[in-house]
This record gives sequence, C-alpha cells and structure tokens, in this order.
Amino acid sequence: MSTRITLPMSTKAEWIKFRSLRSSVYSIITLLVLTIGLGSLITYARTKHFGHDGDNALGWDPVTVSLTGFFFAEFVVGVVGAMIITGEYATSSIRTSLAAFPRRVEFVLSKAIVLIGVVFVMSEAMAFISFFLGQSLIKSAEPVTGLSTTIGATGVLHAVIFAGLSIVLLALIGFGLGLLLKRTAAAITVFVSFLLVAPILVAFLPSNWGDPITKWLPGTLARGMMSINRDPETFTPNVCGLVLLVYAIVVIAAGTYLFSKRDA
Amino acid sequence: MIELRDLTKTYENVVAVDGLTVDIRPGVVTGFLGPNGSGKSTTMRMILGLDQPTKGSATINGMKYHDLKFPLREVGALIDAKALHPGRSARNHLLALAASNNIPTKRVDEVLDIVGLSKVAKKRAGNFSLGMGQRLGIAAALLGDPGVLLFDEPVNGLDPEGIRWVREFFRGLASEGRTVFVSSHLMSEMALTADDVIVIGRGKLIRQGKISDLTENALGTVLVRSPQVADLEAALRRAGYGVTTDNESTLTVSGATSEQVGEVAHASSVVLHELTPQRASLEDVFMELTADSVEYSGAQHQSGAEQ
Ligand SMILES: Nc1ncnc2c1ncn2[C@@H]1O[C@H](COP(=O)(O)OP(=O)(O)O)[C@@H](O)[C@H]1O
Ligand SMILES: [Mg+2]
Repeated sequence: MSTRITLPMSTKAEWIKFRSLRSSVYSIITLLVLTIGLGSLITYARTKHFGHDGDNALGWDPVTVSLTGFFFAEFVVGVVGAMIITGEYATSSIRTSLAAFPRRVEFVLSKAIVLIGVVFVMSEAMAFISFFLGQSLIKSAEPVTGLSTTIGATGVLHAVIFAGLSIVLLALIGFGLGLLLKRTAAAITVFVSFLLVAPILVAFLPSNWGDPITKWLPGTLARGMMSINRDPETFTPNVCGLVLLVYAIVVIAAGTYLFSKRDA
Repeated sequence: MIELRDLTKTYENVVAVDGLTVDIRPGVVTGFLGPNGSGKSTTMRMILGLDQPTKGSATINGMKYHDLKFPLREVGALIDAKALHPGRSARNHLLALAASNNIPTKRVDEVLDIVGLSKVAKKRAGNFSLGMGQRLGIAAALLGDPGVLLFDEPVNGLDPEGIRWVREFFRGLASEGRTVFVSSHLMSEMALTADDVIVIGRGKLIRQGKISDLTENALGTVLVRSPQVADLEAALRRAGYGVTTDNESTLTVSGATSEQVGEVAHASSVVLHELTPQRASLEDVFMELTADSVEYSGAQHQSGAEQ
C-alpha cells in the first residue's frame, strides 16, 4: 500500500482517459485502416507499373514500398501525440487533472507511457500487416519475378519493427511539442513544418548544401529506420532511430520543464 | 484549515490578488465574496497549486498543495464545471480522477448517487446542462471524502431547487467539521449559506468576519415622517446627519440611529408621525464595501477574464 500518489496511479488514470474518449479510439482505428489501405493500393499500383516510372531493380525496396502508408501515419500520429496534452488545455480539464495529481513530471511521464503503449501496439500491427499484405500484393502483381521479399531476408524483420518504432518516436515528438506550445494548432503547425515543409524547402537548395541538412530531418530519419538499402551517404537504421529518439527526448524534456513551471 | 499568508498574484500588469492574509477555519461555511474580477478564482487556483503565487503562500492543514500525499482525499474542489472533456462520460471522468488517487471504483458510484447523477452517469458530459455539470463537479470534489472543500461560484447555472440543495449540502458538509470555502459575487447567496465571510475587492481583503457582524456594524438609515419636515431637516443637518427628502412629509436620514433622530426632533420640538430604522440589506453592505473596487461596470462577464 502506497503512502502517496504514484506514477502507476496516474498512468491508470491516463489509460482510463484515453480509452474512454471515442475520438482517440476512432482516430487510432482510422489511422490503422487508412495506413494499411493506402499502403496496399500504392504498393499494388507501383508493382503493376514497375519499370515505367523510374522504379527499377536498383532502387526497389520491397519493404519501404509495402510501408508507403506510413507517410500518412507519420503525420497523423504527431497530431495524436500533441492532442493528449493540448486537448486538456483546450477544455481546461488540465486544471481538474493537475488538482488531482499535482506531481507534474510524473503526470507527463504517465501520459507518455500510455501514448507509447497505445501507439506501439498500433504501429507494430500496422507495420506487420502492411508488410505481409504488401508482399503478397507484390507477388500477385509483379511483372518480373523476385520483386517481393520475406520477413526472414537480411534486415527485413529489423526494418519492419523499426518502421513501427519510428511512428512511436514521432508521436512522442508531437507530444513534446504539445507540452511546449499548449495549443493544438501551434503544435501541429510546428510538427508539419519539420515533417513536411522543411524537406520541400531544403529541396530548393543546391544538393551539396541540402543533403547534409536532409539527413537530419525527422521525415528522412523515420524513413531511414525502415530502409533495407545500404546507401553509405545516409545514416544506418539504428543511427536514424537514435537521432530521432534524441529529438523526442529533447523536445519532451524542454516541454516538461515549461509545463512544470507555468500556471495551469 | 486553509491559511493564506500575504498571498499575491501579478499577471503582466494586473495585480489579481494583493497580499491576502486570512485563515479559513473548519466546521463552518466561509463565503468568499467579491465583484467579478476581484481575484476569487485566482486565489482558488493558487490554493490548489495550479497557479504559482508571485509572493506569499497558501497552505492546507499546514502543507503546500503539492506536498499533499493524496490531494483528492484532503481537498476537493470545483473550480470550473466545464473543466472536463465533453466527450467523456460522467462516470469515466470520475473513474479517471479516482484512479489517480487510488480511490476505489465503488466510491465513484456513491458520489454519483449523492449528487443525483446515477441515471446519466454513462452519458457524455458535454451534453450536460450547466446545472448537471455543477453537480458532476461537486461529485468530483467529494470523491476522496476530503476535509477541505473549495467551490468557485457553484450556484452558477443552478435552478432554484438546485441552489437550495447546494446550500443545504454545504451546511451539512460544514457541520461534519469540514472546511467549506465557497466563492460568489452575490451577497444574497452567501447570506443564506455562509457563517463567515471574506470580502475582497481588486485582490485586497476588505472585510472578514461573521456574516452577522457585517450588517450589525453597518449603519442603516432612518425613515421619519413629520408635518414639520423643513424644521426637522434643518435640525438634522445642524447635527451633522445626512438627509434626503423623499416627499413633502418624509425624510431619510443617514449616519444616525433612530434614537439620535428622535432626540434631535425632541430638542427642536418637532412632531413625529413615524420613526422607522431601516436595516441595510447585506446586498447594500456589499455594494458599499466594494464600491471603490469594482473593476468593471455594466454587462461585463467574467469569462473573458479567465483565459
Ligand atoms: N491567466 C490570467 N492572465 C492574466 N490576467 C488574469 C488571468 N487570470 C485572471 N486574470 C485577471 O486577474 C483578475 C482577477 O481575476 P479572477 O481571479 O478571475 O477574478 P474573479 O474570480 O473574482 O472574478 C482579473 O482582472 C483578471 O482579468
Ligand atoms: Mg471567478
């Protein structure tokens, strides 16, 4: 019997809060369905047109192709991460929550634990389903044989698992931005700026300037985590994962610092 | 027991709470009165550790809020009936709060029953009327069966029956020995609920004490009727009292007791037909006390101030 409020207590509370909101449950299910659906569609189309639009045996990565839906998931999961905290500011339920559980660092941790748990289960399911569905689609549609791969091939299992983990890390970055900025719109804007807008801007730079920047961008790192190609110019999947993890920790640490200082 | 010591909160350029030092004792309902924008909600948020005081401190049974072992078991608060996620059911809202303080599920159903929300416990709180929202907020405050309760404007949005219920309920909680601290911008509300009052204006303490003392110390006016109004008025003015003429036969005298008015009349041989002391209503006292400190006039709503 504990003599004071503890992390497991607020984690249980956060779990009840998460599962009792239809919006969060629906957004997770919608995300799962859309990611797998879009990924399958694109996988099928790209396989059918193999050899036409620049896809050729050299650049073809059957793992990445089957996980194309993850582009979509990367964006949505950042919003989910941000909203578990910005949603509380928007409804001012943050005051009710913090009056019940004033230990703010533990409060943040409990939210992160629930977010990691939920997103991990969802994103790994998404990764494995997308992968297996994708490979069977490639096999059924392939104009030339040998385009698909198997989970046992070198680096493939690692890539599929890391694909799921990249989504967890992006959700955490979204959460950290939510902690820092309080407002959903602000957090989403910053998240999208780094994930989607920055790569477009960098693409305008000459490549000897742009390339060193590109490889540090969160979108590149997330994709790098699920790649089986070994381009010596880019980071390995493990390094990509590590850098993205450092980003998540830095943003959440800064967010937690502000969160524990400011008025609720 | 809640102790505020030189409690002060400054936002950019507003002093919302200004050096409040008061004790709020157990066993009675303490009314926290002040016009809109006088700093009541800010004070409550500082007691709950939500806002950091600029200066001074607020403690509960000698402890800072942050150091309470199980906050909900020591302090229950309703600060804003809308401070919950509209998509969550009443029961789930309470279940989450209960879990955070290791309060058993059985207690959730108990408090829903106490406030009369059992039947709608599974409904989304966003569809609740303001009155039902207040009841849910009160249920949340009761979850941990705490000895200290804070309610910020709890009767807002309640129907007359709800107001009666809340009033009885607060008195019941106080009679069980709990500290009950209730804010309101309506004196008439407190007159029926509170034993003690703390009146603030512009964040500063204006008056503190038993509610009964508040009216006794305030001088009322005296209504006099006489066929010799002009003579009487002149005599009263010479004696230094304030006089207003109501019509050709009645005067209202301020700053004097009925005895003093009677003596003045006798000394100047004026016949009196009526001599009636008029007790100031609590509302009058309140208006008088806070007249200098009303921040806004007209139809100013406080919601805009709480962003
Ligand atoms: N978060 C805030 N930022 C800036 N000013 C605030 C904030 N909260 C309250 N105030 C100001 O502090 C004063 C007191 O507000 P409040 O405590 O809400 O009063 P009351 O509850 O008595 O109506 C008001 O002038 C209000 O505008
Ligand atoms: Mg208020």
